[in-house]
Amino acid sequence: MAYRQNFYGNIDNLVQRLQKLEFVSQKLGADVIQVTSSNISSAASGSVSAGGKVIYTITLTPSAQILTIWDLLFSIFIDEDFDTDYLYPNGSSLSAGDKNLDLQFSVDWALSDDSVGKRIAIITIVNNDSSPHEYFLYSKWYGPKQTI
Amino acid sequence: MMRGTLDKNANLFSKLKEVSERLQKLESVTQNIGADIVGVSSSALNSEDFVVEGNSEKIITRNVSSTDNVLYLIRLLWSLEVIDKGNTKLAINYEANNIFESKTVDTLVAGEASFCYPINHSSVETSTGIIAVFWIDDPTAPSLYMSTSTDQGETWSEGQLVASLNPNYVGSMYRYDVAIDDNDNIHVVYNRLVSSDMYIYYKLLTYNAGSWTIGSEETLDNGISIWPSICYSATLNKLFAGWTKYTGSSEYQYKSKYKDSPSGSWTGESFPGPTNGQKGLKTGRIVEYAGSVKAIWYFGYNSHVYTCDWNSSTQNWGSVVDSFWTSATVIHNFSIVTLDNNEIHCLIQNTNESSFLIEWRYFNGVGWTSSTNISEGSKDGMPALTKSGNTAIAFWSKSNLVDTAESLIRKKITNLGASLADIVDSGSPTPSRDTVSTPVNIVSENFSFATFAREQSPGSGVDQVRFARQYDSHADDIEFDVLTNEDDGFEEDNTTWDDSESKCGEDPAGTNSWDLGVRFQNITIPQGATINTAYLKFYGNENSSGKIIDVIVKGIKETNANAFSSSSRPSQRSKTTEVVNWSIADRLINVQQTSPDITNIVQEIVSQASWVSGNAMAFVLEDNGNSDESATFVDLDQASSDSWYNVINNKISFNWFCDWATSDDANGIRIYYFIINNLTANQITIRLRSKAYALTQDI
Repeated sequence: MAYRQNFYGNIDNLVQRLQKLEFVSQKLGADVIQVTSSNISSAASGSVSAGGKVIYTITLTPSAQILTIWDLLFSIFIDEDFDTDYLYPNGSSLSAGDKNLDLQFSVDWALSDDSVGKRIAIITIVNNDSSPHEYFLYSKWYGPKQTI
Repeated sequence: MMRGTLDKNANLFSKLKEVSERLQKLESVTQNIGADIVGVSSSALNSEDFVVEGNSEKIITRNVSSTDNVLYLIRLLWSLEVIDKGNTKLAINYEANNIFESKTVDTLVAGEASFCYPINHSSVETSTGIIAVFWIDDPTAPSLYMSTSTDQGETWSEGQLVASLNPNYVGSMYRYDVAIDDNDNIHVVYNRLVSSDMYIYYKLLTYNAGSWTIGSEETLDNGISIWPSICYSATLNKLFAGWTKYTGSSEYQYKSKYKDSPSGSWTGESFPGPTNGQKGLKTGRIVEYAGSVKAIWYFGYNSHVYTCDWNSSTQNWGSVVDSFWTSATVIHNFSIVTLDNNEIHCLIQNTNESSFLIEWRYFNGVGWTSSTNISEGSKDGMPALTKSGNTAIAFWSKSNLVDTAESLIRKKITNLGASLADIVDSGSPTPSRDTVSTPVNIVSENFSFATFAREQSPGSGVDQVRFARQYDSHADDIEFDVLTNEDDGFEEDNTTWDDSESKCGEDPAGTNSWDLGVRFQNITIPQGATINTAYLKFYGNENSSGKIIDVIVKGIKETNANAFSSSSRPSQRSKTTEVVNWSIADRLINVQQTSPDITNIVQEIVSQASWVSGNAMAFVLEDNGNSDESATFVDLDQASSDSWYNVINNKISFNWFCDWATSDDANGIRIYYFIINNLTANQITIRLRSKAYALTQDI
């Protein structure tokens, strides 16, 4: 008798928990779409001569190798590493010549790999100044945290 | 028993089935979680236009932040357009030294206007360029009024009552002062006769969307309290009021109060100066100085000027410095301004029985310089100072203060000496007693102003409040665009007008000739300005065959050019005597082509006696009969914006990215940079439109 009560009690409990889960799922989004991010990666170009260019390749290989959507944020410091006075484009110590560059970036499709969720970004900086410069790149990926 | 067991088993299986189905449903939902749950919200569309000078860079920042400080995945979608492509332009470079334009702020029914004493201010300018002028209508019902202008003095609002004064006292003896704070609130102090005393009052005029709400009256001091002044220190975010208080035994002292914020309460009543040894009527004001404020006052009959600095640590005034101005016999009409470099410049009217002199001194951080007489007549008076950066600008009334025709003159003072500038104000009614009132500032690099009262005829009482604005040289070209489709087009065979195209010359068969007409509105160049250069700039609407098109550029000789129409075609209009021949050579689609210099044509138009800044100006490119081909330019009907990538090869270079270092994960802020380089020599206007999209966490 006690066994049966326990058995049916467990069933009822299961139904109630299901009911609760179904109800909770109304605000599932708040729980699910959290944001995760990669570590910060950095790279120094070395001296880039006038008219020269540097190409950075930034690879993201997520630990959970599933396909998701990633955003890349990056910053460029010119000639002085991690000094906001030299942060492109508004650093207070940057001259017009320092800032005379072309910047292109893309997340490359051919190099990326959907099967493991890998993303590869290409950032190109062309030094249009008459003087050489060193570029310090910092980048970080942001994506949804897939908790379920 | 068996029956009961079966029922229970059925019930059990039913429940298990239900659980299984509901689990299946839940599992199914999770499979579709992205589509079902991941909502997307978006910001409002942001659209902003930016002028990028030729060969210059423009950095635009877009700050995207979540309202709940949560980090979302944000995508910024944007479009960039070059939006001034095609507009025909008129570029003018001119000098306007010595040119004033006077406008009437208010015409007084009662008779005489009274401005504040030159030591005080009668006008302020808001951060958005609204100018407010204050005056006292006298003598019938002395009251303090304000009037505002949103178009740099062209037009003025109806006078608004700020405070009623006591009619049992001559209005011209009342004093007031105005100051504006960083939120464009205006602070007014004024005095009013109460019985046989003179009280000091204060009102806050709260700014909201282009107008002010006049607050209730607060009493700052009673007894005999005169010469109120007010000073807002943006650095200290304090408001200081200063005035002269009769303390008995023929002694007057300089007195002050302050507020800890513009909306706070008055406190800190104190006397900056000592009580002994300075008997006699004093006048002064508190001015901004070196990140703090300084009180300056004089005793009018002994050539002493006293100063003391505000001490932010003790929240009180420091020790008084007594300066003896040896050359001043009797000081009247004291006016002070602090330049950006912290020099305090001062003008006084040095008066004796036979002459009035305008003397200039400045405080250089250590002491006062010796005086320089900048007056031109023997009875110059009412000196009033304003500034432009590190330059002090003086206004005063020339020659005679009473009842003889005179003009208002202006003089610009540098740090090293004085140089005469010009004379202002003429016309009807004839000025007879110009009472200069202290202007406040420079509205723009080519514009300064003074306010004053003007009497219609000697002895009849001043009947106008006037506002005189002065133009200086304009160092760079000002470009005016064709604004409406009707303002560019062509006339065919001197018979029909078509505003859908802009072309000139004639067809190859020589059967039709076309004269291009173009009109520019709101040409803000004062009458009599000296034109340095002037050009018409068109964008090509064709790739030409190399054939040169010969036209004659003429101005429409009107003081305010009317729009072209089928009944008012270029051929029917009067033309300038000055003309310029233009052989229009190779033309390329969307490439700007500049006319020869048409300075003399523009000069002839703005030199017309009744030309007024803001009028319209029009030109015609007449076929000279030699051409056998036409030149077509982009008409405003055809002009349009273009995507940046269509013009990037020869117009702009462009970088954009979302910056990691300046973004803020903790507060869900993303900073996007758009760096635009205009590679052409010409100014362009670009429009950046952007909208942020984020994954919302709602279902």
